[in-house]
Amino acid sequence: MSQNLTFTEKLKNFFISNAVPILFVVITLLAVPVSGFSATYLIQEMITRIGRNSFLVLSLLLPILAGMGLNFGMVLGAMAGQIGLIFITDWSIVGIPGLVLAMLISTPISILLGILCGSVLNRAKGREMATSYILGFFINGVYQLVVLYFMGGIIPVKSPSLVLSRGYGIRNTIALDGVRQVFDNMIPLKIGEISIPLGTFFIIALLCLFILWFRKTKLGQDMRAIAQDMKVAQSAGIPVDRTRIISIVISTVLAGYGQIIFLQNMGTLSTYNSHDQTGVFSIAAILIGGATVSRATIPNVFIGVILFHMMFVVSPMAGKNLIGQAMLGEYFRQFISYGIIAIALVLHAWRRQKDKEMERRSLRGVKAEKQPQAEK
Amino acid sequence: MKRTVFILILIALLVLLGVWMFVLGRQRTVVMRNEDIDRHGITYEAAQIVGISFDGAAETEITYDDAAVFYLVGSSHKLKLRVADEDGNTLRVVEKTIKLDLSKNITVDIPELLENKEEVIKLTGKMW
Repeated sequence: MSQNLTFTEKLKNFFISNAVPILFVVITLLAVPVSGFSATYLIQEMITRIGRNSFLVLSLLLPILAGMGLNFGMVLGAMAGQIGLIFITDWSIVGIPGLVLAMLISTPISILLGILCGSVLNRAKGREMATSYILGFFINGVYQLVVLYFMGGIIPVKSPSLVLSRGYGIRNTIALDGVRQVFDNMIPLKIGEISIPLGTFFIIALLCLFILWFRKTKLGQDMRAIAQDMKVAQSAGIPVDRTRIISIVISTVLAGYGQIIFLQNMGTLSTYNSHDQTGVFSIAAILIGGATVSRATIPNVFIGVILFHMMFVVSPMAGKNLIGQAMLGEYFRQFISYGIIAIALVLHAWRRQKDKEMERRSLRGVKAEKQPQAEK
Repeated sequence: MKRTVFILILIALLVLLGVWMFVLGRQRTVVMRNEDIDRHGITYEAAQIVGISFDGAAETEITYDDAAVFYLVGSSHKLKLRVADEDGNTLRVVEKTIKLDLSKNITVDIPELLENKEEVIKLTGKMW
Protein backbone atom coordinates (compact mmCIF):
# COMPACT_ATOMS: atom_id res chain seq x y z
CA MET A 1 0.00 0.00 0.00
CA SER A 2 2.93 2.31 0.75
CA GLN A 3 3.96 1.92 -2.90
CA ASN A 4 0.93 4.03 -3.90
CA LEU A 5 2.02 6.97 -1.72
CA THR A 6 3.34 10.11 -3.36
CA PHE A 7 6.75 11.56 -2.47
CA THR A 8 5.13 14.29 -0.34
CA GLU A 9 3.13 11.71 1.58
CA LYS A 10 6.23 9.57 2.10
CA LEU A 11 8.14 12.61 3.35
CA LYS A 12 5.26 13.52 5.64
CA ASN A 13 5.15 9.97 6.98
CA PHE A 14 8.90 10.06 7.58
CA PHE A 15 8.62 13.28 9.58
CA ILE A 16 5.64 11.94 11.54
CA SER A 17 7.45 8.67 12.28
CA ASN A 18 10.66 10.38 13.33
CA ALA A 19 9.27 13.60 14.77
CA VAL A 20 10.84 13.17 18.20
CA PRO A 21 14.43 12.39 17.12
CA ILE A 22 14.27 15.13 14.46
CA LEU A 23 13.06 17.66 17.05
CA PHE A 24 15.90 16.67 19.36
CA VAL A 25 18.51 16.85 16.64
CA VAL A 26 17.33 20.37 15.76
CA ILE A 27 17.32 21.57 19.39
CA THR A 28 20.73 20.00 20.02
CA LEU A 29 22.20 21.58 16.88
CA LEU A 30 20.95 24.95 18.10
CA ALA A 31 22.07 24.48 21.70
CA VAL A 32 25.58 23.09 21.09
CA PRO A 33 27.12 26.30 19.63
CA VAL A 34 25.38 28.44 22.27
CA SER A 35 26.77 26.26 25.08
CA GLY A 36 30.35 26.93 23.97
CA PHE A 37 31.56 23.42 24.87
CA SER A 38 34.46 21.97 22.93
CA ALA A 39 33.95 18.94 20.68
CA THR A 40 36.39 16.88 22.81
CA TYR A 41 34.42 17.60 25.97
CA LEU A 42 31.11 16.70 24.35
CA ILE A 43 32.47 13.47 22.85
CA GLN A 44 33.92 12.46 26.24
CA GLU A 45 30.62 13.21 27.96
CA MET A 46 28.62 11.24 25.41
CA ILE A 47 30.94 8.22 25.61
CA THR A 48 30.71 8.25 29.42
CA ARG A 49 26.92 8.58 29.38
CA ILE A 50 26.44 5.84 26.77
CA GLY A 51 28.38 3.52 29.08
CA ARG A 52 26.45 4.70 32.10
CA ASN A 53 22.89 4.55 30.77
CA SER A 54 22.64 2.18 27.81
CA PHE A 55 22.26 -0.99 29.87
CA LEU A 56 19.29 0.50 31.74
CA VAL A 57 17.60 1.61 28.54
CA LEU A 58 18.25 -1.75 26.85
CA SER A 59 16.37 -3.45 29.70
CA LEU A 60 13.19 -1.85 28.34
CA LEU A 61 13.29 -3.75 25.05
CA LEU A 62 11.86 -7.12 26.07
CA PRO A 63 8.56 -5.88 27.57
CA ILE A 64 8.04 -3.84 24.39
CA LEU A 65 8.70 -7.01 22.38
CA ALA A 66 6.00 -8.74 24.44
CA GLY A 67 3.52 -5.91 23.77
CA MET A 68 3.57 -4.67 27.37
CA GLY A 69 4.68 -1.16 26.48
CA LEU A 70 7.28 0.83 28.36
CA ASN A 71 8.16 -0.85 31.62
CA PHE A 72 7.98 1.90 34.24
CA GLY A 73 8.35 -0.98 36.72
CA MET A 74 12.06 -1.10 35.93
CA VAL A 75 12.59 1.00 39.08
CA LEU A 76 11.86 -2.22 40.99
CA GLY A 77 15.00 -3.73 39.51
CA ALA A 78 16.90 -0.52 40.19
CA MET A 79 15.98 -0.79 43.88
CA ALA A 80 17.14 -4.43 43.93
CA GLY A 81 20.46 -3.35 42.41
CA GLN A 82 20.85 -0.70 45.10
CA ILE A 83 20.20 -3.25 47.86
CA GLY A 84 23.01 -5.36 46.38
CA LEU A 85 25.32 -2.35 46.45
CA ILE A 86 24.42 -1.54 50.09
CA PHE A 87 25.35 -5.08 51.14
CA ILE A 88 28.67 -5.22 49.31
CA THR A 89 29.59 -1.83 50.77
CA ASP A 90 28.81 -3.11 54.25
CA TRP A 91 30.82 -6.28 53.68
CA SER A 92 33.71 -4.32 52.10
CA ILE A 93 33.74 -6.32 48.89
CA VAL A 94 35.55 -4.24 46.30
CA GLY A 95 36.45 -4.32 42.63
CA ILE A 96 34.87 -6.56 40.01
CA PRO A 97 34.04 -9.29 42.60
CA GLY A 98 32.09 -6.63 44.50
CA LEU A 99 30.00 -5.68 41.48
CA VAL A 100 29.42 -9.32 40.51
CA LEU A 101 28.32 -10.08 44.07
CA ALA A 102 25.99 -7.04 44.04
CA MET A 103 24.45 -8.41 40.83
CA LEU A 104 24.09 -11.87 42.39
CA ILE A 105 22.35 -10.37 45.43
CA SER A 106 20.06 -8.24 43.27
CA THR A 107 19.04 -11.17 41.03
CA PRO A 108 16.67 -13.06 43.37
CA ILE A 109 15.18 -9.78 44.63
CA SER A 110 14.63 -8.65 41.03
CA ILE A 111 13.09 -12.01 40.10
CA LEU A 112 10.61 -11.82 43.00
CA LEU A 113 9.73 -8.21 42.25
CA GLY A 114 9.45 -9.04 38.54
CA ILE A 115 7.04 -11.89 39.24
CA LEU A 116 4.98 -9.56 41.44
CA CYS A 117 5.01 -6.84 38.79
CA GLY A 118 4.19 -9.26 35.95
CA SER A 119 1.31 -10.80 37.92
CA VAL A 120 -0.17 -7.37 38.64
CA LEU A 121 0.24 -6.31 35.00
CA ASN A 122 -1.54 -9.48 33.85
CA ARG A 123 -4.54 -8.25 35.83
CA ALA A 124 -4.31 -4.85 34.15
CA LYS A 125 -3.92 -5.78 30.49
CA GLY A 126 -4.00 -2.74 28.22
CA ARG A 127 -3.07 -0.39 31.07
CA GLU A 128 0.41 -1.76 31.77
CA MET A 129 2.32 1.54 31.68
CA ALA A 130 0.16 3.41 34.20
CA THR A 131 -0.06 0.31 36.40
CA SER A 132 3.69 -0.29 36.42
CA TYR A 133 4.29 3.41 37.14
CA ILE A 134 2.06 3.28 40.23
CA LEU A 135 3.52 -0.09 41.23
CA GLY A 136 6.92 1.62 41.23
CA PHE A 137 5.63 4.07 43.87
CA PHE A 138 4.23 1.23 45.96
CA ILE A 139 7.46 -0.79 45.91
CA ASN A 140 9.38 2.42 46.61
CA GLY A 141 7.44 2.62 49.88
CA VAL A 142 8.37 -0.97 50.72
CA TYR A 143 12.01 -0.26 49.78
CA GLN A 144 12.08 2.76 52.08
CA LEU A 145 10.59 0.72 54.91
CA VAL A 146 13.25 -1.96 54.46
CA VAL A 147 16.18 0.43 54.05
CA LEU A 148 15.11 3.02 56.60
CA TYR A 149 13.86 0.72 59.38
CA PHE A 150 14.87 -2.90 58.82
CA MET A 151 18.49 -2.45 57.73
CA GLY A 152 20.79 -2.15 60.73
CA GLY A 153 18.03 -3.63 62.88
CA ILE A 154 16.36 -6.80 61.60
CA ILE A 155 18.69 -7.03 58.61
CA PRO A 156 22.32 -6.96 59.80
CA VAL A 157 24.19 -3.95 58.42
CA LYS A 158 27.00 -2.97 60.77
CA SER A 159 29.28 -0.50 59.00
CA PRO A 160 29.15 2.87 60.84
CA SER A 161 29.62 4.64 57.52
CA LEU A 162 26.31 3.14 56.34
CA VAL A 163 24.06 3.02 59.39
CA LEU A 164 22.45 6.15 60.78
CA SER A 165 23.65 7.32 64.20
CA ARG A 166 20.37 6.12 65.81
CA GLY A 167 21.50 2.52 65.15
CA TYR A 168 19.22 1.48 62.31
CA GLY A 169 18.43 2.76 58.83
CA ILE A 170 20.84 3.56 56.03
CA ARG A 171 22.39 6.96 55.51
CA ASN A 172 21.17 9.19 52.69
CA THR A 173 24.37 8.98 50.67
CA ILE A 174 26.79 6.09 50.33
CA ALA A 175 30.23 6.46 48.77
CA LEU A 176 30.93 3.52 46.50
CA ASP A 177 34.69 3.97 46.72
CA GLY A 178 35.49 0.29 46.43
CA VAL A 179 33.63 -0.21 43.15
CA ARG A 180 33.88 3.26 41.60
CA GLN A 181 34.27 2.97 37.81
CA VAL A 182 35.54 -0.59 38.14
CA PHE A 183 33.79 -1.83 34.99
CA ASP A 184 34.75 1.36 33.11
CA ASN A 185 38.43 0.90 33.89
CA MET A 186 38.41 -2.88 33.45
CA ILE A 187 39.94 -2.52 29.97
CA PRO A 188 41.66 0.88 29.95
CA LEU A 189 41.70 2.66 26.60
CA LYS A 190 42.52 6.26 25.91
CA ILE A 191 42.46 7.84 22.47
CA GLY A 192 44.03 11.30 22.66
CA GLU A 193 42.29 13.05 25.55
CA ILE A 194 39.25 10.80 25.40
CA SER A 195 39.05 7.81 27.71
CA ILE A 196 36.73 5.02 26.63
CA PRO A 197 35.03 2.73 29.16
CA LEU A 198 35.70 -0.36 27.07
CA GLY A 199 34.82 -2.78 29.84
CA THR A 200 31.31 -1.34 30.20
CA PHE A 201 30.90 -1.22 26.41
CA PHE A 202 31.84 -4.90 26.28
CA ILE A 203 29.11 -5.74 28.82
CA ILE A 204 26.59 -3.64 26.86
CA ALA A 205 27.60 -5.41 23.64
CA LEU A 206 27.01 -8.77 25.34
CA LEU A 207 23.50 -7.64 26.33
CA CYS A 208 22.80 -6.49 22.75
CA LEU A 209 23.87 -9.93 21.48
CA PHE A 210 21.66 -11.57 24.11
CA ILE A 211 18.67 -9.51 22.98
CA LEU A 212 19.31 -10.32 19.30
CA TRP A 213 19.62 -14.03 20.15
CA PHE A 214 16.60 -13.96 22.47
CA ARG A 215 14.34 -12.55 19.74
CA LYS A 216 15.03 -15.64 17.64
CA THR A 217 14.31 -18.14 20.41
CA LYS A 218 10.95 -19.85 20.90
CA LEU A 219 10.26 -17.59 23.88
CA GLY A 220 11.14 -14.49 21.87
CA GLN A 221 8.84 -15.56 19.04
CA ASP A 222 6.08 -16.23 21.58
CA MET A 223 6.51 -12.70 22.92
CA ARG A 224 6.20 -11.26 19.41
CA ALA A 225 3.06 -13.33 18.80
CA ILE A 226 1.56 -12.09 22.07
CA ALA A 227 2.39 -8.51 21.10
CA GLN A 228 0.56 -8.97 17.78
CA ASP A 229 -2.61 -10.48 19.21
CA MET A 230 -2.98 -11.90 22.68
CA LYS A 231 -6.16 -13.88 21.92
CA VAL A 232 -4.71 -15.49 18.80
CA ALA A 233 -1.53 -16.34 20.71
CA GLN A 234 -3.60 -17.90 23.50
CA SER A 235 -5.55 -19.94 20.93
CA ALA A 236 -2.26 -21.09 19.41
CA GLY A 237 -1.29 -22.57 22.76
CA ILE A 238 1.15 -19.92 23.90
CA PRO A 239 1.00 -19.41 27.69
CA VAL A 240 0.32 -15.68 27.45
CA ASP A 241 0.35 -14.73 31.14
CA ARG A 242 3.47 -16.78 31.89
CA THR A 243 5.35 -15.34 28.88
CA ARG A 244 4.41 -11.80 29.88
CA ILE A 245 5.66 -12.42 33.43
CA ILE A 246 8.95 -13.81 32.05
CA SER A 247 9.46 -10.68 29.92
CA ILE A 248 8.95 -8.44 32.97
CA VAL A 249 11.20 -10.63 35.13
CA ILE A 250 14.04 -10.43 32.57
CA SER A 251 13.53 -6.67 32.23
CA THR A 252 13.58 -6.19 36.02
CA VAL A 253 16.72 -8.30 36.47
CA LEU A 254 18.46 -6.39 33.67
CA ALA A 255 17.34 -3.08 35.19
CA GLY A 256 18.97 -4.16 38.46
CA TYR A 257 22.24 -4.85 36.65
CA GLY A 258 21.83 -1.59 34.73
CA GLN A 259 21.45 0.38 37.95
CA ILE A 260 24.62 -1.23 39.35
CA ILE A 261 26.51 -0.26 36.17
CA PHE A 262 25.03 3.26 36.40
CA LEU A 263 26.02 3.71 40.05
CA GLN A 264 29.53 2.26 39.69
CA ASN A 265 30.12 4.97 37.12
CA MET A 266 28.69 7.69 39.38
CA GLY A 267 30.60 6.42 42.41
CA THR A 268 27.90 7.56 44.83
CA LEU A 269 24.62 5.97 45.81
CA SER A 270 21.83 8.26 46.90
CA THR A 271 19.94 5.64 48.92
CA TYR A 272 16.47 7.16 48.69
CA ASN A 273 16.66 8.98 45.35
CA SER A 274 18.96 7.23 42.89
CA HIS A 275 16.22 4.97 41.54
CA ASP A 276 13.53 7.68 41.45
CA GLN A 277 14.13 8.98 37.96
CA THR A 278 15.63 5.82 36.47
CA GLY A 279 12.41 4.74 34.78
CA VAL A 280 11.37 8.16 33.50
CA PHE A 281 14.81 9.04 32.12
CA SER A 282 15.33 5.66 30.47
CA ILE A 283 11.88 5.75 28.91
CA ALA A 284 12.38 9.33 27.75
CA ALA A 285 15.70 8.32 26.18
CA ILE A 286 14.25 5.37 24.28
CA LEU A 287 11.30 7.49 23.04
CA ILE A 288 13.67 10.22 21.91
CA GLY A 289 15.59 7.56 20.02
CA GLY A 290 12.51 6.97 17.87
CA ALA A 291 10.97 4.02 19.70
CA THR A 292 7.27 3.70 20.32
CA VAL A 293 5.23 1.87 22.91
CA SER A 294 4.90 -1.05 20.51
CA ARG A 295 8.20 -1.01 18.62
CA ALA A 296 11.76 -0.50 19.80
CA THR A 297 15.12 -1.55 18.47
CA ILE A 298 18.71 -1.50 19.70
CA PRO A 299 19.61 1.53 17.51
CA ASN A 300 16.69 3.43 19.14
CA VAL A 301 18.43 2.91 22.48
CA PHE A 302 21.77 4.35 21.44
CA ILE A 303 20.33 7.24 19.39
CA GLY A 304 18.07 8.09 22.31
CA VAL A 305 20.83 7.99 24.91
CA ILE A 306 23.06 10.23 22.77
CA LEU A 307 20.35 12.79 21.99
CA PHE A 308 18.83 12.89 25.47
CA HIS A 309 22.14 13.22 27.26
CA MET A 310 23.51 15.70 24.76
CA MET A 311 20.58 17.88 25.80
CA PHE A 312 21.37 17.24 29.45
CA VAL A 313 24.96 18.37 28.98
CA VAL A 314 24.48 21.41 26.76
CA SER A 315 21.21 22.87 28.03
CA PRO A 316 22.45 24.32 31.38
CA MET A 317 25.37 26.10 29.76
CA ALA A 318 23.28 27.16 26.78
CA GLY A 319 20.69 28.55 29.20
CA LYS A 320 23.35 30.31 31.21
CA ASN A 321 24.91 31.88 28.12
CA LEU A 322 21.51 32.95 26.79
CA ILE A 323 20.11 34.33 30.04
CA GLY A 324 23.34 35.23 31.79
CA GLN A 325 22.77 33.63 35.19
CA ALA A 326 24.08 30.26 36.37
CA MET A 327 20.98 29.45 38.46
CA LEU A 328 18.69 30.16 35.54
CA GLY A 329 20.83 27.84 33.45
CA GLU A 330 19.96 25.02 35.85
CA TYR A 331 16.25 25.86 35.59
CA PHE A 332 16.63 25.99 31.83
CA ARG A 333 18.05 22.48 31.95
CA GLN A 334 15.11 21.21 33.99
CA PHE A 335 12.67 23.00 31.73
CA ILE A 336 14.22 21.62 28.56
CA SER A 337 14.61 18.07 29.91
CA TYR A 338 11.14 17.61 31.37
CA GLY A 339 9.51 19.69 28.62
CA ILE A 340 11.06 17.48 25.99
CA ILE A 341 9.90 14.33 27.79
CA ALA A 342 6.37 15.73 27.73
CA ILE A 343 6.72 16.61 24.05
CA ALA A 344 8.04 13.12 23.30
CA LEU A 345 5.06 11.53 24.99
CA VAL A 346 2.55 13.93 23.40
CA LEU A 347 4.09 13.38 19.96
CA HIS A 348 3.93 9.65 20.57
CA ALA A 349 0.22 9.83 21.38
CA TRP A 350 -0.37 12.08 18.36
CA ARG A 351 1.52 9.68 16.10
CA ARG A 352 -0.56 6.76 17.33
CA GLN A 353 -3.70 8.72 16.57
CA LYS A 354 -2.38 9.55 13.08
CA ASP A 355 -1.52 5.88 12.48
CA LYS A 356 -5.04 4.87 13.47
CA GLU A 357 -6.53 7.50 11.14
CA MET A 358 -4.32 6.30 8.28
CA GLU A 359 -5.33 2.72 8.99
CA ARG A 360 -9.03 3.64 8.90
CA ARG A 361 -8.54 5.64 5.70
CA SER A 362 -6.70 2.76 4.04
CA LEU A 363 -9.48 0.34 5.02
CA ARG A 364 -12.04 2.67 3.45
CA GLY A 365 -9.85 2.77 0.33
CA VAL A 366 -9.73 -1.04 0.13
CA LYS A 367 -13.49 -1.18 0.54
CA ALA A 368 -14.03 1.42 -2.21
CA GLU A 369 -11.72 -0.52 -4.56
CA LYS A 370 -13.47 -3.79 -3.80
CA GLN A 371 -16.99 -2.55 -4.50
CA PRO A 372 -16.60 -1.94 -8.26
CA GLN A 373 -14.95 -5.37 -8.62
CA ALA A 374 -17.91 -6.98 -6.91
CA GLU A 375 -20.28 -5.25 -9.33
CA LYS A 376 -18.38 -6.69 -12.28
CA MET B 1 11.76 -33.31 38.02
CA LYS B 2 14.59 -32.69 35.55
CA ARG B 3 13.73 -29.00 35.54
CA THR B 4 13.72 -28.76 39.34
CA VAL B 5 17.13 -30.45 39.53
CA PHE B 6 18.49 -28.04 36.93
CA ILE B 7 17.18 -25.03 38.87
CA LEU B 8 18.62 -26.35 42.15
CA ILE B 9 22.03 -26.93 40.54
CA LEU B 10 21.92 -23.43 39.05
CA ILE B 11 21.07 -21.88 42.42
CA ALA B 12 23.88 -23.86 44.09
CA LEU B 13 26.35 -22.67 41.43
CA LEU B 14 25.26 -19.06 41.87
CA VAL B 15 25.62 -19.31 45.65
CA LEU B 16 29.12 -20.77 45.19
CA LEU B 17 29.97 -17.95 42.78
CA GLY B 18 28.74 -15.48 45.40
CA VAL B 19 30.93 -17.05 48.09
CA TRP B 20 33.90 -17.01 45.73
CA MET B 21 33.33 -13.33 44.93
CA PHE B 22 33.07 -12.60 48.67
CA VAL B 23 36.42 -14.26 49.38
CA LEU B 24 38.08 -12.76 46.31
CA GLY B 25 36.89 -9.18 46.79
CA ARG B 26 36.95 -8.82 50.57
CA GLN B 27 38.85 -5.70 51.58
CA ARG B 28 40.59 -5.79 54.95
CA THR B 29 41.43 -2.72 56.96
CA VAL B 30 44.82 -3.46 58.46
CA VAL B 31 46.06 -1.17 61.24
CA MET B 32 49.83 -1.41 61.74
CA ARG B 33 50.71 -0.19 65.25
CA ASN B 34 54.23 0.72 66.31
CA GLU B 35 54.03 0.94 70.09
CA ASP B 36 55.47 -0.93 73.08
CA ILE B 37 53.31 -3.89 74.05
CA ASP B 38 53.19 -6.50 76.78
CA ARG B 39 52.17 -9.94 75.60
CA HIS B 40 52.13 -12.91 78.00
CA GLY B 41 54.59 -11.16 80.29
CA ILE B 42 57.03 -10.32 77.51
CA THR B 43 57.59 -6.68 76.55
CA TYR B 44 58.15 -5.90 72.88
CA GLU B 45 59.71 -2.49 72.33
CA ALA B 46 58.78 -0.38 69.36
CA ALA B 47 61.36 0.98 66.92
CA GLN B 48 61.91 4.69 66.43
CA ILE B 49 60.99 4.58 62.75
CA VAL B 50 59.40 1.78 60.72
CA GLY B 51 58.86 1.84 56.96
CA ILE B 52 55.97 -0.38 55.86
CA SER B 53 55.36 -1.59 52.33
CA PHE B 54 52.81 -4.13 51.09
CA ASP B 55 53.24 -5.98 47.78
CA GLY B 56 55.97 -3.66 46.52
CA ALA B 57 53.90 -0.50 46.87
CA ALA B 58 55.36 2.81 48.06
CA GLU B 59 56.66 2.76 51.62
CA THR B 60 54.73 4.40 54.45
CA GLU B 61 56.90 5.57 57.33
CA ILE B 62 55.66 5.69 60.90
CA THR B 63 57.44 6.81 64.05
CA TYR B 64 57.42 5.50 67.61
CA ASP B 65 53.93 5.23 69.16
CA ASP B 66 52.30 5.82 65.80
CA ALA B 67 50.06 3.72 63.51
CA ALA B 68 49.16 3.48 59.83
CA VAL B 69 46.09 2.09 58.08
CA PHE B 70 46.26 -0.09 54.97
CA TYR B 71 43.42 -1.40 52.83
CA LEU B 72 44.26 -4.83 51.42
CA VAL B 73 42.25 -7.00 49.04
CA GLY B 74 42.96 -10.72 48.90
CA SER B 75 44.39 -13.06 51.53
CA SER B 76 48.11 -13.35 50.82
CA HIS B 77 50.45 -10.33 50.84
CA LYS B 78 54.16 -9.66 50.89
CA LEU B 79 55.08 -7.32 53.72
CA LYS B 80 58.36 -5.44 53.91
CA LEU B 81 59.32 -3.72 57.17
CA ARG B 82 62.28 -1.40 57.34
CA VAL B 83 63.40 -0.59 60.87
CA ALA B 84 65.37 2.62 61.33
CA ASP B 85 66.83 4.65 64.20
CA GLU B 86 65.75 8.19 65.04
CA ASP B 87 68.19 9.62 62.46
CA GLY B 88 66.60 7.53 59.75
CA ASN B 89 69.50 5.06 59.38
CA THR B 90 68.24 1.63 58.39
CA LEU B 91 68.96 -0.96 61.07
CA ARG B 92 67.35 -3.97 59.44
CA VAL B 93 64.86 -5.02 56.79
CA VAL B 94 62.38 -7.81 57.42
CA GLU B 95 60.29 -9.41 54.70
CA LYS B 96 57.41 -11.73 55.48
CA THR B 97 54.39 -13.20 53.79
CA ILE B 98 51.20 -12.57 55.69
CA LYS B 99 47.98 -14.53 55.29
CA LEU B 100 44.81 -12.70 56.23
CA ASP B 101 41.58 -14.47 57.12
CA LEU B 102 38.19 -13.01 56.13
CA SER B 103 38.21 -10.51 59.01
CA LYS B 104 37.23 -7.00 58.06
CA ASN B 105 39.43 -5.23 60.62
CA ILE B 106 42.87 -6.53 61.56
CA THR B 107 45.27 -4.89 63.99
CA VAL B 108 48.94 -5.78 63.83
CA ASP B 109 51.53 -4.91 66.47
CA ILE B 110 54.75 -4.34 64.55
CA PRO B 111 57.18 -5.02 67.48
CA GLU B 112 55.62 -8.45 67.97
CA LEU B 113 55.62 -9.11 64.24
CA LEU B 114 59.33 -8.23 64.00
CA GLU B 115 60.20 -10.73 66.72
CA ASN B 116 58.23 -13.52 65.04
CA LYS B 117 60.66 -15.85 63.32
CA GLU B 118 58.16 -17.49 60.99
CA GLU B 119 58.23 -16.66 57.29
CA VAL B 120 54.48 -16.88 56.84
CA ILE B 121 52.30 -15.35 59.49
CA LYS B 122 48.56 -15.84 59.73
CA LEU B 123 46.66 -12.79 60.96
CA THR B 124 43.14 -12.68 62.27
CA GLY B 125 40.95 -9.84 63.44
CA LYS B 126 37.34 -8.83 63.76
CA MET B 127 34.90 -10.24 61.23
CA TRP B 128 32.66 -7.13 61.10
